[in-house]
Amino acid sequence: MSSNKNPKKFQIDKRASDLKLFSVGSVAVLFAILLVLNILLYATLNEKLSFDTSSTSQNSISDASMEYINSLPADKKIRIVGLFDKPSSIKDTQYEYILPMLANLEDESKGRVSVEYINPNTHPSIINELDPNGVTDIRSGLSSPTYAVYCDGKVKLVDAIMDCFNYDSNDIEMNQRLVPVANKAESAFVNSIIAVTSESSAKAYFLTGLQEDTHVTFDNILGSMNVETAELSVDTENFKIPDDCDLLFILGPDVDISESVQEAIKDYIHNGKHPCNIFVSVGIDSDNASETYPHLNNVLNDVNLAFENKIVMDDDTSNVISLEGSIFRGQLSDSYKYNNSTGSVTYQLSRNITKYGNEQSGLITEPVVVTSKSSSLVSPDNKIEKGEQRNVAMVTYSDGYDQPINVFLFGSSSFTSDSYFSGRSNNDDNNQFMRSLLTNIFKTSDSIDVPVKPLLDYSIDASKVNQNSVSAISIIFLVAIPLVFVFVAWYVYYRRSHL
Amino acid sequence: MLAILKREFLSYFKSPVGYVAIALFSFLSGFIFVMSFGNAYSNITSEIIRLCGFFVVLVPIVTMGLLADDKRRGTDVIYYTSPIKLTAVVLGKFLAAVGLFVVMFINIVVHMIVTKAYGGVIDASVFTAVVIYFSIVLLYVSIGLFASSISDSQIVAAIVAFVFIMIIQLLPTIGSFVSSAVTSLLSILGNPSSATLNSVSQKIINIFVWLDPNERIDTTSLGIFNLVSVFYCLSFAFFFLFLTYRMLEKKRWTQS
Amino acid sequence: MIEIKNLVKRYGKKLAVNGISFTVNKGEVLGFLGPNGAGKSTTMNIITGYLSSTSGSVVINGHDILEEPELAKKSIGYLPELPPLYLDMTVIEYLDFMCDIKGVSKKDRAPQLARIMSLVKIVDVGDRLIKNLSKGYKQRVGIAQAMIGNPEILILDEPTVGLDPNQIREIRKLIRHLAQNHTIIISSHILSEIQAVCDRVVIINKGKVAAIDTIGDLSTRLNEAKKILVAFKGDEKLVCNLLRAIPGVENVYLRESRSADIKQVEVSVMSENDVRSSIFYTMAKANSPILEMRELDASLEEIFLSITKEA
Repeated sequence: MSSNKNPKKFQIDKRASDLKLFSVGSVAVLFAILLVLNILLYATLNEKLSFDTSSTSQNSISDASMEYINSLPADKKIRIVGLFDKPSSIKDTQYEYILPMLANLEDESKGRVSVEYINPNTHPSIINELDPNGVTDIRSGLSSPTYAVYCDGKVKLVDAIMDCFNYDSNDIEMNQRLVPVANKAESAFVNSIIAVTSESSAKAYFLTGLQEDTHVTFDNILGSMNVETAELSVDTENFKIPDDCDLLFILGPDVDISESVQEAIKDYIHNGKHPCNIFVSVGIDSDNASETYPHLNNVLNDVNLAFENKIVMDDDTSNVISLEGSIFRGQLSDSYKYNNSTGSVTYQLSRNITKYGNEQSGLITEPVVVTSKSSSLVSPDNKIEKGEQRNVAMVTYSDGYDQPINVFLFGSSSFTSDSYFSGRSNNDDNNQFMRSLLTNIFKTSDSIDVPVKPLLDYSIDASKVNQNSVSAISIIFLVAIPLVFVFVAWYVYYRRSHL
Repeated sequence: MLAILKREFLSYFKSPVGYVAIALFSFLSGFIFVMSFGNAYSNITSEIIRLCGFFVVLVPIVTMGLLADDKRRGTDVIYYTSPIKLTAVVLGKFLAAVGLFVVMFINIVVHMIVTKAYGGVIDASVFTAVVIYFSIVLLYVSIGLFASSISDSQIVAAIVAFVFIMIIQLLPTIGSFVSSAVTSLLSILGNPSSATLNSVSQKIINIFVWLDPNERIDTTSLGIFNLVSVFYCLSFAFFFLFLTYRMLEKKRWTQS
Repeated sequence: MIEIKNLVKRYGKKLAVNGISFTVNKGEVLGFLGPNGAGKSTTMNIITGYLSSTSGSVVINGHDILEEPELAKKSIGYLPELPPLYLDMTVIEYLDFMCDIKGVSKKDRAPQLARIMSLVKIVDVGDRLIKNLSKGYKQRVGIAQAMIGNPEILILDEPTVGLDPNQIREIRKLIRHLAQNHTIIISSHILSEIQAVCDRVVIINKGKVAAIDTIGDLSTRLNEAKKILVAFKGDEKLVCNLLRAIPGVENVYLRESRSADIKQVEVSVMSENDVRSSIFYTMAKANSPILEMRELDASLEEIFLSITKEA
């Protein structure tokens, strides 16, 4: 009996064990297939199937940047090295705006850009690798997390806090607090890449030591045009405008220049490097309202320009944006309209700009930004001169071909100050205007317009959020709605159990 | 399949289970919403992603009865002796549970409306968050359904589902354990350099991070939406449904 | 109609079903008879597709249950030992759901449900929650569910277990009514039940077929081993001897008496002899009043013994 059983048992059980094998086998095979598929998909299409859904486009680089990067030779190797340990969690930190964007930059560069994190504390050799000649501050110890953008022996530093964001200048001034208002991480990195991958073509100097405005915006704009920027302090001994100066900025000084500086600038205009470009911006505020700037005016008079202490107020209400703040719209002269669709710009608290003296031969002086046909001037003693058309910005340029010069005089800091530009996009009228002016002067075709991006803002209308509404919402969502469901649960259960 | 779907879905509303799950979800999502509302901001994307953390409790509650109950009450006879396919059974129950999650989601829609009414922002990342949220729902519910198929006790089903999902939530932690275990093992066996040890440990951690679906949804809240993640969740949801089907089919060959 | 060949079902080392074969013809009512644990429910589970056999084949109207499961199952309505009722549904909700499952079209549904519910007499509990129904009603809902879709074949596992005598009578009446239009397989461990409704009987014991017979033939066999219980007062020894003397009486066996003066004997009677009148006169002559006289249902063991003795 038992000897018969075994072969029979084997025969009977075969179907069951076949089915079992098939069942288990099919599960294992499916698992393996799915795992392999997922790995393959991830390895090949991960970048293509990633989408930047942020409303601010902060996780992807702009088309202009992409174009520039891909115009570089394919074997160009750009290293972006974060000189700190890679942060593990980036949500709700500033890295939220930086890391994904860098990852996208790496992907889009098709091998040209690599991003890595090497902490000099653990790997000190990286400092020498990146900056063998000591041209940057790398060696002196970095106080905030910094990236080094390196290519072919040239290196530029990008500070993850200061360089990647625009901050509210009022908060900095008054509260010593860094409150970010805009995200310019992409701009900072792309400009650094431009700087290390090409020879710089021009240099701009900013006159300092005059309690003047900061010039971060211009650093960016000029950086994207491959123009190097530097500061020139009026306190240097034997002050002279350097021989490599292509553009001199005097932005919103609160005090006048000295006589020696005045002479040095005049010297630059007549004998310095040409084409010679000067931008002077003289807004009026409580710090400089009484200053008449005789020496600065002296320089400008030399080129038929002058400015005075009087504030321009446009009488035409269609040009008034805010009367209390003295904010108005000004019209651009035709030759300065460039791509501006409205043909106008904004200015606040502008000094009156006038033509001075008789036109010298070879020089042409013309308005750049004008008011309506009727504008008043308000003097410091509150005397009012009634309306005619006034100038808020003017230019003197030479129409001869030897010694070409461009001297721009802006009556309001709205055309040039960081506090105006920070937080505003590149589409802002003033921003467009300044860019176009500078592009025209340097006539570079490869400046790229890298957008400054807004920060993620999930706030709701704070005016409607008060104690009452918060309480109401809390009660509704935390108490009322769940209780309603619990009640319905009980009710349904009660009704049905009696069916 | 529609019959099964209809019956299971409606049965959620004939017993307290469905309402309790919805009430719980309302409370949890309401809590997150009210917290940020009180601070005058409302980030729906972040809310949706954070709710995924509560699935470890919600999903077992919803799925524990789906198949275990039939086994215990003997009603699974219906599935085997009627002219319906087992795949219809699996899909019907699966979609019923997913349907309950869809109903729960109405809470979030209400939050969105309130946000808009108060001048808040609903951007594209919200919609991608919804897509990935439901991908995760599909994955976890399929795991819960599978857990329900292995026993006739609802408690066992709930515990198994809970443990499974918990393990998934803890994948990165498990990853670092495994990598330190492996590196110490390697150190004992041979004498590798610290660089190789580092790279091995990093690679192991990376594997576990890659496996973790939660890692992928985190990037969604940063505004990066990756279809590969959606495919990952959907493909393994399919795997667990297949596994559940095989478990039901086990009656055909089981010898015990 | 239904062909079962060499069904074997193994559970670990145990063979619950060990080579069962039989056929069921169209329109007949087949009884499955056997003690608890004989393998009746397992066999029915295999026929309906709930379990899969370790080996052997089940062919229903030409469709093999493993190869064409949907076609095979479409012809079957099954009431298992434990009726598959959803306690959280009302009767109508449940039956509607079963209509969905079995593919009853929307327009056929209302008339079919009305007919079934009135046949099974559950019309007045239509809106009640199944959880709240009595066992009898639950059983009837179970039968109703088997009838949905009007399947040719009804397989009922112990349909009257746990019912009171009234309910049992009703169910038997129902089955007889259904038998007019369906092929039915009923299983039970109560012989009288099978006798009451079936045409043919398959007797199963320890996973094997012990006998397959028509009711008529079975009755004959039973009559061969008929027993009469007589309760009386008087001298048991005398009565036994007297009764043994009656022609047609095979044996007389004294049962243990419950009380001092009331005694019981079992009288084994051969073939169709009706010895009851003879017993009456014999007892009267012996001055032993008959307090009770009735036929005993032959126990299953006895049937098996007698049947297997012959086999």
